[in-house]
Amino acid sequence: MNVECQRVQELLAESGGRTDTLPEDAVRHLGACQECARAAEQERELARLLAVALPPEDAALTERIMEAVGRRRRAQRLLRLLPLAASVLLVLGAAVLLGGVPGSGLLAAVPGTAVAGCLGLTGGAIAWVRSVAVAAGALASVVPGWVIWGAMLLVLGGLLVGRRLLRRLEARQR
Amino acid sequence: MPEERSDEALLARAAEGDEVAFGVLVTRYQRRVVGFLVQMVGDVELARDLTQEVFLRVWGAAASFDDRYRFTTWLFRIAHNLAIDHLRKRKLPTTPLTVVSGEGDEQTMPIPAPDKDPMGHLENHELAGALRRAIEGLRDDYRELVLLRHFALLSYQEIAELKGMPLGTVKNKLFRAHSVLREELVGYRQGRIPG
Repeated sequence: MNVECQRVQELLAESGGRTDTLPEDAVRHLGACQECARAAEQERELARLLAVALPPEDAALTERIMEAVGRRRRAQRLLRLLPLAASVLLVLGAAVLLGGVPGSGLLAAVPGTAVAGCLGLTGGAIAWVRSVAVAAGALASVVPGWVIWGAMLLVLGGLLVGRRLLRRLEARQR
Repeated sequence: MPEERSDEALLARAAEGDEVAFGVLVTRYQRRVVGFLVQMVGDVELARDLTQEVFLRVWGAAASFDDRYRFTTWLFRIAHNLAIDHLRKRKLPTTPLTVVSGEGDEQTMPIPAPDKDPMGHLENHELAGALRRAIEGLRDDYRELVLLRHFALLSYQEIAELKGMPLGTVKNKLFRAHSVLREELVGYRQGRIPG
């Protein structure tokens, strides 16, 4: 095979044997070279076989992928809220440990009749929280406050670092 | 009405959480990714699972996509890396193309049922088998380029970018790979079973 035949056959491999996209000199060469004309025919046959070898469109798979994406998105949202939720819990926890719960005072300020049922329901919960607060208060009298705050900050920091590590892990998966 | 936004524009929307835009990308490329992965791992169901994982990774990393590159080269790099990782982990068991009968004769393996055969929907299963074997028999570097070209449907330029090869090298390798495939198919038509 000479250099010109190779050049033309490279073009044929790229075009899938189609000659209408070839430059004029390549088309002229095809008219004069039996070997390249045969190669063009074989390339068309190969292109036809390869084209039908692609799997058909699969709508069920698209649906499956989008469901998985939806689940991943919901998980990501929760992950984003995690540090915020943890911070709120930590602050509440610290308040319970160091200062008791201002629950009854706040609830007493809410206008009466509409929330009477709600107050009844929350009464039991508050009683439970109070007993926890009493126990925690006992703990706080033994353990210095700064140790408790330090522990809380460490937990919060750990959550933030953990989240960053998760993001890095996701990026590395690319 | 067909969606006309570019891949990169759709991905930018997806990075902001637009699942509809991402769905367009999935619809646009799912068939090509499955086709490519089927040829890489040799199993349709596994290829579907890996395709789902590819798109989940694309979704997860959409915000970090570098728009100096093409979406297609990025997508198929992810698919390729995932398939390679999977094959490494699994140490893919190979199936011989011939079996020895009770009388000691060597027989060609039957082509599997269409739903398990990567090319099973070809009308002519024997020709599909010949083509599959011809592709499997290619040198690794030729085979990879053939899969990227004919199953991922990437252009020569996209393949060159993805593989970090000069365009001329891609042209030359694909020309050589095609020559081998053409020869095998001509041989098959003349009654010689390739491989």
